[in-house]
Amino acid sequence: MEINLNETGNVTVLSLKGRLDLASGSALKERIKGIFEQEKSSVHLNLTEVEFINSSGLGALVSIMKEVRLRKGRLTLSNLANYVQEIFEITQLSHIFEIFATQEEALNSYSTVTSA
Amino acid sequence: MIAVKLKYSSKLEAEELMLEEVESFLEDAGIDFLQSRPILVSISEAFTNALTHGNKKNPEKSIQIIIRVDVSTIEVEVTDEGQGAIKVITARKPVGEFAESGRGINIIEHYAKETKLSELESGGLKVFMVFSRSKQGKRESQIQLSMEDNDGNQFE
Repeated sequence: MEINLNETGNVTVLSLKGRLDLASGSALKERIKGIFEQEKSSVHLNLTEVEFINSSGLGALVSIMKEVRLRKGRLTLSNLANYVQEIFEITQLSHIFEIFATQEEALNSYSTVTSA
Repeated sequence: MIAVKLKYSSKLEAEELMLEEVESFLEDAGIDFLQSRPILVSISEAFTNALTHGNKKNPEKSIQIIIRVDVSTIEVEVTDEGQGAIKVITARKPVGEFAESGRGINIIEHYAKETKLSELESGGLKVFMVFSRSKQGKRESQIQLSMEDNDGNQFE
């Protein structure tokens, strides 16, 4: 899986491409660990080009989310394909993640939270 | 009918190759991208269980996948060479929302219209799944448990 990273304000945006499974989930966790080590805790994942996710990939996202919460940060997801969204719903994880239709909506929500 | 038999060593790296080969086979068998997603993820879940619970990530043990594509159904068998995985899977309890594992069988049960777990005489686990080609989604998911030898004969 490819991971492209860029910073938008205080939010680190990772655009994922490919399959999110056991191996790539571990790689994603390592990549985000590096972000946390830079004292950054607001992370947005754009899943536009994620063509496959299984329970191992979900497990990696849960692990990341737990770490973000420990750091009192925030994790958001956006642009899930229907078949990816369905996996979240089958496993009842759609209600514990902040999932947005678009990256723009997700990033706007960080501004809203900051100014509230 | 179109069929394929695939075999992989129980290494984490094998999952990527398996997904590529299964996806390629399904495409060649005329299963389009959207229809293949539930099948691919279900096979992936069974593969991960075989890798971790069955073969305990022992690279000397193999995972076999057989896929048969017919006009109306896709049948899949995923078999490991481990010991006792069936007890681990059938003894599972509902996982908490922050659990990082334990959801694989739930995904399989959602998508497959039939799921059967069998313990081979050798102790390995065979996961048998049937998917409909016309519509995906759960029908009457029948979880059957049985003991059978390597020739598929059932025994007490």
